[in-house]
Amino acid sequence: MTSDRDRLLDALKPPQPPPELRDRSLRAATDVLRRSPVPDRWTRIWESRPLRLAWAAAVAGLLVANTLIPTTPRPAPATAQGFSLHHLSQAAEDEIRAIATMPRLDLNARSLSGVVSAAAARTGAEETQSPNQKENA
Amino acid sequence: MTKPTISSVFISMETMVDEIPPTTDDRTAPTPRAGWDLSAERWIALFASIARGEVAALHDLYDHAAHRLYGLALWRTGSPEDAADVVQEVFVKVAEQGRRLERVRNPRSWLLTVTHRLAVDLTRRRKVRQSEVLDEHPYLEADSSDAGRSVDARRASAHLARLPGRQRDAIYLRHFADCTFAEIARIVGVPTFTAASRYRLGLQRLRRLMEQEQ
Repeated sequence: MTSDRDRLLDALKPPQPPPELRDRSLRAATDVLRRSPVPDRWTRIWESRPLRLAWAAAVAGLLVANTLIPTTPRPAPATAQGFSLHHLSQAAEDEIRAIATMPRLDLNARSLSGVVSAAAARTGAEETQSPNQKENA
Repeated sequence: MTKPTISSVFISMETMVDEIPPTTDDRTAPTPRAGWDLSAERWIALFASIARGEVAALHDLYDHAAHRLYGLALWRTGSPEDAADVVQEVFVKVAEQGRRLERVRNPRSWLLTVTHRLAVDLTRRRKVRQSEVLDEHPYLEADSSDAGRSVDARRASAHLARLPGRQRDAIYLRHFADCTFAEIARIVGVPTFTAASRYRLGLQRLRRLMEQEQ
């Protein structure tokens, strides 16, 4: 392996850099070396123009958002107790109403007292009445 | 002793690819190796001297590194003028680093990485600006004034110009910059296996081109 590699290197090689490149490169590098040292990372971040622009854009965005978002107060939410009592009473009323209007399943069913109202059997309106109500009537 | 022909050299290079070191060795590779006529400690000391602002160290660095860096830049850009610009920019970057150079553990690898990145950037910019024929410049030249070798160099350059830049980078870094596959991978920013693969594919293609010519 080594011999193959040496053979290739002996045979051919990359071209040499042009002679004037040495002076050119070293002059440029020496100028930089003698200048003030490169600022550290935090200084570069602090002085970075894109970062400053990003910061300014973020602040401007926040200000715009703060202006545009409506600031009118919302209605205060109902208290937990008031909310539950209201809804409970409403539910109870609905349940009672449903029971009162519930249709009879068996129109010939006898009441507990054994009296069947003929009028209740004939009219549909009276079907909704309970046997007790009919007896009372 | 018979002189090897260029085709036999490329063919024998391809057989080397089977001897890729295991990746476990590559993971432990960041320790700097000696090369380019200096020991690893001397490279680090050279960077430390530049970090202290010693101009003479900058001259030493040029003498030891410029040839390899120029070659890498030339193989990537395909233009001697662009390669010279890249090398100059590399030395400016070195000078700009200041005290940070003391933290560089592998100066050779660092220099090659900077050179490669600058060369890639320059090539991209040039592609946008103009479409040049990059195969007019020699990537290789003969070590001696032997006419046969010069012909070999021209032929090899023509074939190298037909390779993708990434494969050319891998071949250059492996053979002319003395890099391991792990170092090549770090320099070009790919996994070690990819670096070895690019090298292998590059040599295969070179071999095919040589065979087609004969």
